Amino acid sequence: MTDVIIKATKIKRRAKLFMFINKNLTKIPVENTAVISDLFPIKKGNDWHTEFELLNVSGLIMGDNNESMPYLVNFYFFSSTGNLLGTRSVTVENIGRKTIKLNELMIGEIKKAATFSVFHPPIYDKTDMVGSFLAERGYSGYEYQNLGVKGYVHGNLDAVALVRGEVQPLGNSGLIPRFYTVQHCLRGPAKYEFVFTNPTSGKIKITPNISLNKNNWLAKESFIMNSLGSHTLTVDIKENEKAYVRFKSKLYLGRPVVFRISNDSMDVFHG
Amino acid sequence: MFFPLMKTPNLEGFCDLIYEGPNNWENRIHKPVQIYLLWSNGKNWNSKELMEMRVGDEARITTVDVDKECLATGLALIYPSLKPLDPQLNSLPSKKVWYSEIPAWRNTAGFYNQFTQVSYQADIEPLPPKASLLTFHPFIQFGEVINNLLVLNVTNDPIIHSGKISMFNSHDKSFVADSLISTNSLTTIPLDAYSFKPTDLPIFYSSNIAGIPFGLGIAKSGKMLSLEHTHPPASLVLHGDRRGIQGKIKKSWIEKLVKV
Repeated sequence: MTDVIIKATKIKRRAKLFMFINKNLTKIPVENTAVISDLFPIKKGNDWHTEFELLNVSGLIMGDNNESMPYLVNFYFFSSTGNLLGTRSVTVENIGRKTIKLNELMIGEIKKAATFSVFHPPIYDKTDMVGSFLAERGYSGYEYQNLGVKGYVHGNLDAVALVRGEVQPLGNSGLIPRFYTVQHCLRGPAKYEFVFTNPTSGKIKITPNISLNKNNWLAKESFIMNSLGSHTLTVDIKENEKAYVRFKSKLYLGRPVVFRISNDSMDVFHG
Repeated sequence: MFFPLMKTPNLEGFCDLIYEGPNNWENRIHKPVQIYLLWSNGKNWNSKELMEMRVGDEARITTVDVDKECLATGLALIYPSLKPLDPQLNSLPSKKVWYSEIPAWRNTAGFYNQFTQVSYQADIEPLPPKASLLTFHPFIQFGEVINNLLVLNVTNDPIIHSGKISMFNSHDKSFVADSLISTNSLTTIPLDAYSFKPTDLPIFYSSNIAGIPFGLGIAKSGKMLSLEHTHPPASLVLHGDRRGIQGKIKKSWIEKLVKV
C-alpha cells in the first residue's frame, strides 16, 4: 500500500512539474561563444547611489586573479521598456576588485537606464568549459541617503546572453499563470519597492495580490513588462500593519528584488 | 529544511516565518505545524517547542526571545514539525515539512538594532560533515563601517568541530591570516584588522568545514546594516557540468594557496 501511495505521489508531482515547468528554467545559449549576465536594477534619484562590484571573472574561473593583460568588459544599459539604450566599456585592471559607480557611466543616451547587464569576454578558447558559460551574477551595491554603507544583492535571474554582439533573453515562462509569494512578511512602517525584470523574449503580465488579513487576498492593478523591461511596484505599509504579497504571472521565477525603506534606512534582498 | 536564528556581537537576530509556500503548485501543505527551536550543545540537538502555526500565520522569533544558552554557538535553527520532537535528538529531523524546489521555500532572517534591520531570504539544509569552502569576498566597505565575515554551518551530527579558515589576497595570492570556524555555529570574524584595500578581493578557504559565508557591514552610526552571502565558485558559470567546473576552479586555487 505504501508503495502505491509513493508511486501516486511521484506521478502527481511529475504531472504538476509538466504543467507548470515544462521547459528548463532558462534557455541554454546555442553558441559556445555566448556569455551570460543578470539584469541588475539601477536605483536613481537624489537618495540613491548604485554601484557594481566588477571582478575578473575569467581569472577567478581559471585560478589566477593576477591579470597582466587588461581587458574590456561591456556594460549594456536598458530602459524600463526593454530598449537597449547604449553600452559602456570598462577596463578590468590588474587589481582584485573594481567598484563601478554607475552614475559615472550613466551619461548621455543612457542617463535614463533602469537596468544593466555586464558581459565579460568569453573564455571557451582558453579553458575547457565542459558545456558551461561564463556568467556575471554578481553584486550590486545600493547606498541610501548617503548613509555611507551599501546594501548588497546578488543577481536574481540568469537573464540574458550576449551572442555575437546580440543580446538574447534567456528566461522561460509557462502556459499557466502561477503565484509567487514573497517569503517575507511586510511590516510597517515601511515603504516596499519590488523591482521586477522580464528575462523572457515576450511581454509578461504580472498581477500583484496583497493580503492585509489572514488568507484574504486582494488583487491589485496588473502591469505588463516588455522583453528585457522592468517595473517597480511600491507598497506602503503603515505602522503596526503587516501584509503578505504575491504575484501572479507566467514567469517561472517571478522573484523581484525587494527594497524596504524605513526609519531613514533601508534593506535590500532578492525576493 | 531549517531556518536560521543568528546572533552576532552588538546586533540581535531575527527569523520571520510565514506559513505560505512560495508557489501555488508544489507542497500544498495545510496541516498545523509545531515550530521548534533546535540548538546543539556539542553532544545533542536540543529541541524546544515555541508555538503552533496554521496556514496564513506569521511569526517573528528574535534572539531576545530565547535563552542565551540556546545561542551559545551564535546559531539556533527553526524547524516546523508535523509531530512532537523529543527534547534531545542525535541528529536533525530529516522530514522536510516546509519544502519546495522551484523556488525554494524560504523565510526571512537577519539582524536588527535600535535603528534598522537587514535581512536575506534564508533556508539551510545540513551540510556534509567533511567538505571544503572556497569563496571570493567583494563585500568589504570603507569609511565609517565595521566589516565582518560570518560563516554559517549546520550538520546533521550535533558534535561541534572547529577548523581553520585561511584568508588570502586573490590578486597576489599572499597569505593574510588564519581564523577558526565551527560546525553547527555562526562564526563572526572581524575583518577590519587586516587592512584590506578597496581594490583587494579576499579569498576565504577552509579545507575541512563547509559553510555559507556572509559579509556583514555595520555603519558605526548604527543607522545602516548590510548583509549578503557570497556564492560558491560554481556560480561563476551556468549550464553544462557546473560541478565539474567548480571542482576545477577549487583545485586550481587550492593548489596555489596551499603552496603559499
